[in-house]
Amino acid sequence: MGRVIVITSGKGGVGKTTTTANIGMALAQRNRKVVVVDADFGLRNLDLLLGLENRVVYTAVDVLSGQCRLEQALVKDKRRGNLVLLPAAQNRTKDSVNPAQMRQLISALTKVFDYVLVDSPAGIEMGFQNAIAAATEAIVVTTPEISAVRDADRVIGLLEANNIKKSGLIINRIRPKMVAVNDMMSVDDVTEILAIPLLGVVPEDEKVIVSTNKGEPLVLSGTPTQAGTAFENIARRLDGEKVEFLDLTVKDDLLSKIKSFFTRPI
Amino acid sequence: MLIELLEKIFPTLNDRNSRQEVKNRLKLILAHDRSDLTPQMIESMRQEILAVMSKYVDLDSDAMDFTLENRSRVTSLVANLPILRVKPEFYTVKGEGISQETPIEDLPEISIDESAIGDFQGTSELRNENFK
Ligand SMILES: Nc1ncnc2c1ncn2[C@@H]1O[C@H](COP(=O)(O)OP(=O)(O)OP(=O)(O)O)[C@@H](O)[C@H]1O
Ligand SMILES: [Mg+2]
Repeated sequence: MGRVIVITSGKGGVGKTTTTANIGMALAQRNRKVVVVDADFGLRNLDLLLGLENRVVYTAVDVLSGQCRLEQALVKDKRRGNLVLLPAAQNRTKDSVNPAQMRQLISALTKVFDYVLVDSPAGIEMGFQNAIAAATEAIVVTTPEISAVRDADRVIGLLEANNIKKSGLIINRIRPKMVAVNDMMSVDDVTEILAIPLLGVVPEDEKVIVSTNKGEPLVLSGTPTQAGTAFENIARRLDGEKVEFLDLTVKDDLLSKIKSFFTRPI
Repeated sequence: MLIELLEKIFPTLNDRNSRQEVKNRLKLILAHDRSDLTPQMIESMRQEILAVMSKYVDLDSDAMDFTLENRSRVTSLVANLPILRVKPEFYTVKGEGISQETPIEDLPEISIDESAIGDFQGTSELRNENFK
């Protein structure tokens, strides 16, 4: 029986889909059998971030309506055969699927895959209810901004109310320089406020956009990137490894600058 | 530019920074978000609690404090209600009652063993002293 993990946030645009694509790929690189499920019906993105958009034929809605079998709708990744995508329908609304159907679909997937990662849409309405319906674990993604943290908190409450007991926090788009000058909440600030275990920290990184352009998750890139390493570490932690958190603090004060001037290698 | 430099040398100059501000705002708003209590519910709870307490004690209405707090996702109502005095009708030592006459036939009979009186002789003088 595979683990069913929903990636959710409340607020839109904080990095759920980026996280799902990268963690899915990183787990596949660890030879796990992974299916990533796009639960953002009507606004699908996950196929784009994985570069699989041209190979989508059927969607979850087609499976549920009996137009095709489940295995026909699964798109296999060409780089990693043990990663597959279950696409969402683009021409339907979130109300075209209900939680009972999602449970049915995902329970079939857990028989074959080690990990079922469900990319949730923003908000807390029907689409969110569908995304969490079958999940037993959650990854809550937030950025260190007031509205994202408030929405994350709301979602954490709803996850608890829906009996999803195991939640991990990802703080995305952190800017160490802004934290250093007290213009952004730190990882500790956000973790203390939300009071759920920290699963990972992903810095703001332009490479994320480059990777989206190419439809190639960062964890695939040959040259290591900060965000890519962060996602790899998250996948390892999910998989049960103990991995230190990246040190993203900058020593930006005058004293450190003077010190580093005198201590730099000549 | 000069200010920024000074703030970097003396971080304490920058105490009221946006990071501290946003944390304070979030903590307050989340205590309310998490409790699912409307301001009206909090107000009626406050009034009912005060009504119950006022039956027994006089409260210092100026120094009262009634707020929601949240630690590790558990909301508590923190009330500080200074008690000025207990209402007179609840004094544990009552003035009345002592003087009330009990009919003599209701009292238990008191007997005395004359032969045992001598045992207390040593202390009786002392007692008499005290009563002077
Ligand atoms: N660490 C990062 N550094 C830089 N840009 C990022 C980072 N994470 C995400 N982004 C950018 O933020 C945008 C939103 O990301 P993404 O689509 O993953 O969010 P989402 O939560 O899935 O959004 P939605 O709620 O619309 O589904 C994208 O343009 C993405 O490239
Ligand atoms: Mg998304």
